[in-house]
Amino acid sequence: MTTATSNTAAGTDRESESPMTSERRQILEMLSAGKISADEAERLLQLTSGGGSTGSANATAVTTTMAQILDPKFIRVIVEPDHTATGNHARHHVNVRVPLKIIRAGVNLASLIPNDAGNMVQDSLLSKGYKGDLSKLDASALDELIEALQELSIDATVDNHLVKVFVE
Amino acid sequence: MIPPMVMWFKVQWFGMWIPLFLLWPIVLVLLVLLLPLAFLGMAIAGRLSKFWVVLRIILASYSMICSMRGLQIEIQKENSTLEIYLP
Repeated sequence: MTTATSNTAAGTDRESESPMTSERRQILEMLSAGKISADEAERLLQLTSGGGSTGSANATAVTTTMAQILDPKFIRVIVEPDHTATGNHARHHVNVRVPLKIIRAGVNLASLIPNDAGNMVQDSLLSKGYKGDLSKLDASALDELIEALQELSIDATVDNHLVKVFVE
Repeated sequence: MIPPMVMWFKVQWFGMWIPLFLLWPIVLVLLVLLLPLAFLGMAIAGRLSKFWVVLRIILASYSMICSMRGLQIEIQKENSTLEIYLP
């Protein structure tokens, strides 16, 4: 009897929970399903917890950020000199943002390259150490590639420079 | 799909917004004028199949240009600067 009562109470609570609580639940479910990382979940939870904004503004911010995380649009490459880089000649700054749509459009365009020219491109890539076969990159492989890129995050130090590659 | 309308381009200290929206009507007029000629030329030469390839390349190139919106490149090396931005 007590159990039934508490279940009913829990059901009523769930029905009456605020949109922000349901968003927090959704974020936690995505985190447990491995769809988002802990950092991304923290970022989203901070947005749901407010910070001076109104409820609707917060909800919009959460939805937008969630869409960005689940459907990233760009690859960002940032190179910054670290604290050990000295001298003006050794300090490089690079900030490149490439839309992911370019990859799909590029593969479509590359599929129209005549065989002879395609072989020349392939030879040129082989000479530079790229061993993949571009002619085998079809629509399904491309979808897999783009999906895999969404989990891409690289932090490296090369020649006294911090290199970051991530999708956003 | 809409192609980028402006482009920010900066080399060293000199930077400017390039009005790409002025370029697209010219390209469109050129295409409208040249495509029928290309079609006729290839039909006479008996290589009409190539015309469809050309058409597909043009469409794929247009798609590529449209997908470049949002591209941002900023490079600073020694005293050199290069910035390209397609909003």
